[in-house]
Amino acid sequence: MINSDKNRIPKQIHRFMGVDRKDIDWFPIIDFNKCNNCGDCVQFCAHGVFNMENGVLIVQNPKNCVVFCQACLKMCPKDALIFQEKKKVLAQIRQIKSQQKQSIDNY
Amino acid sequence: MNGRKKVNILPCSGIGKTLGTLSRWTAFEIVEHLCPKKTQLLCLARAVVGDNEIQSKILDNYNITLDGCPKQCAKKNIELKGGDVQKSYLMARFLIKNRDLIYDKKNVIDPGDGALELAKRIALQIRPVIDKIFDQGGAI
Amino acid sequence: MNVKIVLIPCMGCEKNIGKIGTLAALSLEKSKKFPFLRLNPSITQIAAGEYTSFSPETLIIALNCCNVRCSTKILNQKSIKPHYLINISKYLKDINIPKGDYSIHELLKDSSVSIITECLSNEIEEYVIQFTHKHEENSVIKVNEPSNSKTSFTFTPNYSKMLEFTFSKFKFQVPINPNRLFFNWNDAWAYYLGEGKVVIGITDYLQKNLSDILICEFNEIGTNISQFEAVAEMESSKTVNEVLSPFSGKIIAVNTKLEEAPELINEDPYNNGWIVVLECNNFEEESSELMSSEEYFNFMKEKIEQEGIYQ
Repeated sequence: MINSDKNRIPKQIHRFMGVDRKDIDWFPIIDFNKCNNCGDCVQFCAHGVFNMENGVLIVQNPKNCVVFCQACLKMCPKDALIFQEKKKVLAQIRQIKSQQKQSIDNY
Repeated sequence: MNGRKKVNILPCSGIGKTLGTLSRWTAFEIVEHLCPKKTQLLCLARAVVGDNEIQSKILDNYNITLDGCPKQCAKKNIELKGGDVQKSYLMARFLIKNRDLIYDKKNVIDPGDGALELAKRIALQIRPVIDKIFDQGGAI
Repeated sequence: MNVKIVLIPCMGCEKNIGKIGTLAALSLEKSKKFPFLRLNPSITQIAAGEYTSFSPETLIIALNCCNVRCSTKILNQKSIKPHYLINISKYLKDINIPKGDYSIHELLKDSSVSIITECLSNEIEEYVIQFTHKHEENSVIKVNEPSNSKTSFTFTPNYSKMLEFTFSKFKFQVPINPNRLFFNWNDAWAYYLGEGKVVIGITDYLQKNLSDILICEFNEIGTNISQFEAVAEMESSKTVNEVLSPFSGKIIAVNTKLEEAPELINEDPYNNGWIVVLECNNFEEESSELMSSEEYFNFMKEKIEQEGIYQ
């Protein structure tokens, strides 16, 4: 099974740094003032994060986005993708981790 | 679907002489002015790369190639990719028949009004062929 | 500057950016700013013979207009390695190009063509300087210095064993060194040298997914990097990718061999394909958050089984 079909959506990675991927707020946000719906990012992202809906770009699978990957931002011709600051997200991950640890300790 | 099939216009990527420029100008003339509803312009390089989107456009539609010189890169590449080339044109042939037009043969960016006029003339000659292909579902 | 330059544009004609890029390439040649610049007749030419005849002193530059990067890909198909890659779309951050339907003749008059020609010219000028410099450097080294340059850092890691996972026709390796080797979730490894210093590279899995790496650009020596920030960016025949740092710290060395031979990353990702050396800010704490070889191996296996390989 060598993957050559760009349209398929791979399953998401479940954990990142020991934290459930679903709890991490890392995904692109589209700046619709800049986006021209060219669809380059849909083609580019191997994880099926983006899609087109009636000719308009949407973030269809935000949690498929690889945490801390910003490769799509590099190639967007209109510079229309925005990500959260890495530091904030890292802090969020660390906080969740320490909560997990605490709850285990309390248990 | 039959009536919706478009005619792909594929100019060559020629750079060295005015011929390549002429094939692109002719392509723009056709797609932008004469037959915008029946045709679409495709990058030859994308077709050569094997880009999925372009590949299916080539297979699902009619193709007209516009080559500058007899090397016929556009025609050969599209055939190589499995596309049906309904009609191929060679710019060099049109030059002979339109010697009255004067333009800068060395200027590959903007050879001047004569070349623009030539592109228009060639496009006008190709238009009836496009209409036929489009209306009659590929048969010429 | 009498360097022979071959600029290979994609000759895009679908989007405005393609048309403008093509016009810019043609304008640059016409301007004769680089007397020895020539545009390659056509990258789409069937006969490839012409492309193999470049002499080693010829500076080859691939010029892409959009992110399909046709020029790079076609050269790759023909097994020609350009020295530099230029992507016109990166200029668009500072330059507005006309949107919507414009004829080629309208675009020809648009100011963006001359601005982009100027950007292109400047970028090529820079590459010519770098290229000439490298050539001079190489010839000096050949004459005076057989090997062992004092400033260069030699990476000699110690791996006790290789873990291997076979999938389809591919074999993925992960080396083991329990005390020194760490991995992050973005497929980068870090090898602890001692005194708070680590060597950073990418894993065999990532290397295989990227396929042929054509360019590796590092952040400069002295740059401070946060954890998970990019220490380098690479462009392969398939995609663009960043190397995200497992540690925060300052870059103190880069593998300059990769400038000439980025394929070292493909050939030997855990040894000669190392990318940068980092002086860590907080080695103890950050290393406790990373994965060991076995943990990464399982993570990688899971990923491959779920996603397959992007080929």
